[in-house]
Amino acid sequence: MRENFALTEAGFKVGLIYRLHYFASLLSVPVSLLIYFYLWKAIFAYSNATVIKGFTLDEMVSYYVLVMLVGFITYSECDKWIEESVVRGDTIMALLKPYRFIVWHYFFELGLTGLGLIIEILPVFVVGFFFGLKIASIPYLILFVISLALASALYFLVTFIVGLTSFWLFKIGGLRRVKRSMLAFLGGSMLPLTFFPETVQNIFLVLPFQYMRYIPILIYLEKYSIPYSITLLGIAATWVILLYVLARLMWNAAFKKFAGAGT
Amino acid sequence: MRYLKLWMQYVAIQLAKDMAYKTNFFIKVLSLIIADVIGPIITILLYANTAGIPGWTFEEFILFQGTFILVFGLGHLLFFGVPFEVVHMVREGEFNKILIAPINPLMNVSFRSFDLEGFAEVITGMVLIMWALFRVDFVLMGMIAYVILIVAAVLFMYSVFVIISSISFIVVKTYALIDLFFKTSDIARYPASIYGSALRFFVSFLFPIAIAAYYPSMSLLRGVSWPWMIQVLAPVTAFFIFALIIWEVGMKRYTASGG
Repeated sequence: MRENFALTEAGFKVGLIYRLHYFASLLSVPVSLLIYFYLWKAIFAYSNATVIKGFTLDEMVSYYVLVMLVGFITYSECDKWIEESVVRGDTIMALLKPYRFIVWHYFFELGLTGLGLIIEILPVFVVGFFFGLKIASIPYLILFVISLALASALYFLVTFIVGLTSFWLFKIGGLRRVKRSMLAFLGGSMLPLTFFPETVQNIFLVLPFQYMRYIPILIYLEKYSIPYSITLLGIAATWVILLYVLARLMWNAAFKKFAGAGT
Repeated sequence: MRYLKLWMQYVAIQLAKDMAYKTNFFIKVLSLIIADVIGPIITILLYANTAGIPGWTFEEFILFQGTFILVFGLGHLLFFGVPFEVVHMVREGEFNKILIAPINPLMNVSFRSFDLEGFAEVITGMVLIMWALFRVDFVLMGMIAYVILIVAAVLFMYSVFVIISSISFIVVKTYALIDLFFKTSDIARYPASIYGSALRFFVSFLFPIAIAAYYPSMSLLRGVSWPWMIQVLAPVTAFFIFALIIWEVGMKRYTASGG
């Protein structure tokens, strides 16, 4: 385990190099929230409603604060790292190391996210409270933390799988962009999923997407009963296992492909 | 004429570069279309469940979104790459070549930044606009103003990218500024009329990004007058002149330090 955290430390240090990027994204937090605040204020007033699709105006604004919070915590771009190492041809270095490829990337990412947590999370909370974010009660807070852990595992696994495709496709900038926008859209980052038709929502229930953003947010907002929340977390955990198996299978194939090409 | 020929040459080179990773190129184009189509889908969901954005019917807001996508698509096609190109060239010392060439340096760098992918966004935007135009009442005179304002919007974004590029001569890491531009321009994704007065002033005069979609759509849907056009175009013109001055200053810095 100690070795694994050495990787985390490395990730942390690499993240420091890009700290300017973190600050830029920090500045964007109040801007984005201001946009959503005015947008929903206008829509609520124009619709003459206090509750739209299960959300009050305050809850709607909190929803977007939480979208950002969950987004920062579950952030992963290991697909970019994998792509770079495949294109540059230094994947061999990664294979020589006494780590499993996936473990290496996971702990490296943990360091990157760790830095993000320190720099970004606190300001988001501060800005969030300014926009009326309330602290959830203890049981929901605990469930929220568990759902976050599952969400970040899911997000990491999907990103890792996308990253592995670079063994076949080399440059995957386009695929990474598809991943980003699809996960944002289907995960509920842009609009609460209750705005979708009932049937679509039921399909979302068995897909992994909503467990990366939407479910943690709704648990925080105490929209579900505790037993139901636990059921949802069970589905999320099942997806973690399924995606892990898929990632391992893909890695085995990628490894064969890599060895076969002899590059 | 010489410039047009040069531009064609650069387009050809860019095409060859993109074709080196064909699959990625096509997925990239597809990804842009997907990302752009999500906006209208959200609009559909929004208007299906609420009264929508005050003062804008569904079709009008699709026109608004289409305009935004078109303007940013044109930027992507023509010059979003300029700061990256400048940073790369300054770092590698290649910028000297640009200075020696018998072509305006700014034009040269801009031509090099042509990005074929932008076409995907331009077409998506145009499709949305066309769809909406058949369904909204628009002022015929507004059509001319609409085209002028879209050109002005592209010019404004060009100014911003020239300013960012000029800053790259002094501090090399300007990617954060590009991020910041895109985040700030998210404000222009919705009509300026929904915002508070401070924010509205900001996007109209201090950083006139409202020209990306709000003003062109307004001219088309609500009509135009001369004073209104002048008031809209003045900040953009000021920005453009400012950008050209800053670019000259930046280039002087480069010549002085780079030797």
